[in-house]
Amino acid sequence: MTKRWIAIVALVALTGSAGACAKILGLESKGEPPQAAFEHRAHVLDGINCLECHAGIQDAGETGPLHLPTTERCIECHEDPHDPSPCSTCHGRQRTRHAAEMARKHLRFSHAGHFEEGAGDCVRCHVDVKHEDASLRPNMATCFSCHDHAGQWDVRDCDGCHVELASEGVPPQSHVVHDGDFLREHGVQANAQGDLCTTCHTQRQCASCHGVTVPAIPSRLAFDSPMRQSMHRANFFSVHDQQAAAEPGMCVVCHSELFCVDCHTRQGISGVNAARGNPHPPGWSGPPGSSNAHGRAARLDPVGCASCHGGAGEMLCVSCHQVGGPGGNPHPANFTSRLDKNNDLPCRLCHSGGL
Amino acid sequence: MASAQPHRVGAELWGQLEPNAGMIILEGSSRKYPYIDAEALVWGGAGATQLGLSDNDATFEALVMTIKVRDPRGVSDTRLGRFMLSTGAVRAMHIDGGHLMLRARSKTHFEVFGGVPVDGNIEGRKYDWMVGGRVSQGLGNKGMIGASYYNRFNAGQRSDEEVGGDFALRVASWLDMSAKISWELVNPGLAEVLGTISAQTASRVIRGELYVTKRSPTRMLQSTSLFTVLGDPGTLAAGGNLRWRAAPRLDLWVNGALQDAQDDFGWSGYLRGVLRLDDDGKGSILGELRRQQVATSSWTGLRLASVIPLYEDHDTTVGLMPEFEIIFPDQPEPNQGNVWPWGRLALRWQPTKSWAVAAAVEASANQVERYDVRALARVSYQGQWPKK
Repeated sequence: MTKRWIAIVALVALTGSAGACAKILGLESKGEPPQAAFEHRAHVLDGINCLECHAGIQDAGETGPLHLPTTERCIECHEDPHDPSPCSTCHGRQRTRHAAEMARKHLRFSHAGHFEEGAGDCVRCHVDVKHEDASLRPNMATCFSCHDHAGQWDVRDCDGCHVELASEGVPPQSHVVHDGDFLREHGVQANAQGDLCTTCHTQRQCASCHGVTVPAIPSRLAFDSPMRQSMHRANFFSVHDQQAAAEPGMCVVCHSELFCVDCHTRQGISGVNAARGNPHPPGWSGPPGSSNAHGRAARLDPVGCASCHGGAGEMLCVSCHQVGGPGGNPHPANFTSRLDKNNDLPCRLCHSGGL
Repeated sequence: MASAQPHRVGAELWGQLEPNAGMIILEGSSRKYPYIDAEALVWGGAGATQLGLSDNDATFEALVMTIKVRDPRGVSDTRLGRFMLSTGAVRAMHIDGGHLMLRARSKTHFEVFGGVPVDGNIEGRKYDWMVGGRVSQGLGNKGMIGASYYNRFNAGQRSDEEVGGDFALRVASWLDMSAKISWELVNPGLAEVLGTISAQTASRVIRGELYVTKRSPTRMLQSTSLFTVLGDPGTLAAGGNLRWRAAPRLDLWVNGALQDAQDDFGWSGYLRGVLRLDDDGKGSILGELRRQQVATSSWTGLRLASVIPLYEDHDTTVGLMPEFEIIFPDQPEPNQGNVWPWGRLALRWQPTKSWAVAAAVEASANQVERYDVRALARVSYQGQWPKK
């Protein structure tokens, strides 16, 4: 008997949890009243012409109303509505209507011009009507299936169709898709087609991460946007040294090697601060045959070494690492350079004597 | 109604307590006319040195100050001023200079650029100047392929000279790929290789990416540095990531990469989940577990963050943003603590679409500070005219 009750309670709990999870995950609409995608497909299958609901759309130009059906239009057919609320309360999503309003503001588009060309065949553009739950706004690839816009595309002249594209805030759906780990991916994409990126993105957006005169990293300036992906997330400071060690060369893509010592010196946590003393552990450097950990460290992260020991600090290295010196020749076997070894830096530090 | 591009202005007051710092950030841009764009962001501040400020003196800087003159038919673009140069295989570079692009009907683009790399407030060796160019060819509407060259001088001497190639292709509606490779000419050899291929399902429920990164840190230093003589230790990372829309409001990511730093092999990766609290994503919760074990870097991190809408009407919103991260280093140094927790609680009030006020308190313990508490505040305004 007890086991049966436990099983019943467990079943009820499981069902309740599953229901709650379904609402949380968006599998089941949570809002009151619930909103679902408009049942376009069902209307089309019933043979209802688009213009019966979207009356006047065939004459709509670049401006004017959206020609979304009103409740009065709906009850012309649905004579006995099951609810006194406006039909759009439940049928059709608010965000879809908002997207249509944004498109009205940000697209130079005329239904009138397309209606004649398409001979009244709306599905030719609104291809997703076959999916019950899809937004019917055509993506750009659909436009390109008729209009190649070759001239505009080639010269990145988006203004012909798009108005104030950046403030619409809609990432492209049919090219340079900003999805997945786009923070990681965007650099190499932008390098090949950077002028395409600038049709939406301002210089500020690039410079706020890559600029060397940024006032602070984005996650500190926009401290109220924790969901924003960022190379330097808010607690980056804790592991910045370890991340630099794991990917030597990564930091110097944007930062000068002097950036490290400049900041560490200003923070008073650099070896050049008298109070801090030598930052290297025991056994860092010594005569040949000793542990000499610095050699491997230098090959692992030459940028880190260059930060403090660049410029005049290089003489410390050269005092040992020269032909005939106790540190020996620092070049690997296959080393080549096109620099003038007697006159160019850093060669002349050792070679000016004709070594 | 579709209207002309507006002029935009913005201002931000930003402040921090302990250590104290304050900044004002002013920006403006105009894209009203098809033949000219202008954009500027300048800032001034005083206080804590860690924020790019110098020694408690007042600091004034320009991040961006540029105009772009454009032939309305798109034949040419010319950008002048302070801006980010990012093109072809040339690494993104902040410069004071110019960038000219010419476009031929054959989809061939020619670019020349040059200027003085911005060095910020950094003392020490400064770059003298750089110059370069790129030729690229459009491949229908599928992408671009290009070749570039640049030469950077330091202390009157050739410092970096690189040639490179790049391409970006959208082979099919579900497949993107792009890559770039740069070859150093001064100390001949590969400087950097980046490649990525991503694909997605038609429904966009799943998107995956494979990537590879190879860098030679000695070739990314200026060639005037002694540390360029150490040859090519090189680093390599190859991995992939997958984003799965597990439910309409739930996105899951997994990322993993094998890494090599001078024959020291390791790996890094993360698991991340974002749950949207409503259909529009106004509220959300993020959880992330991250692990890195490469060379001398070995740590595990756990991060939680959320945006919680407290109030919303037509114009006004109020939201709470808690954020927390804890780092577990594998081998903490003595006196640096065994865990490094960090947390922040922010509150934002947006009384209109133009104005926003935010404040936060954050606390942390890390390898430098045993206990660190700060307060942050920001008032910002974004406006445009003509108004919509």
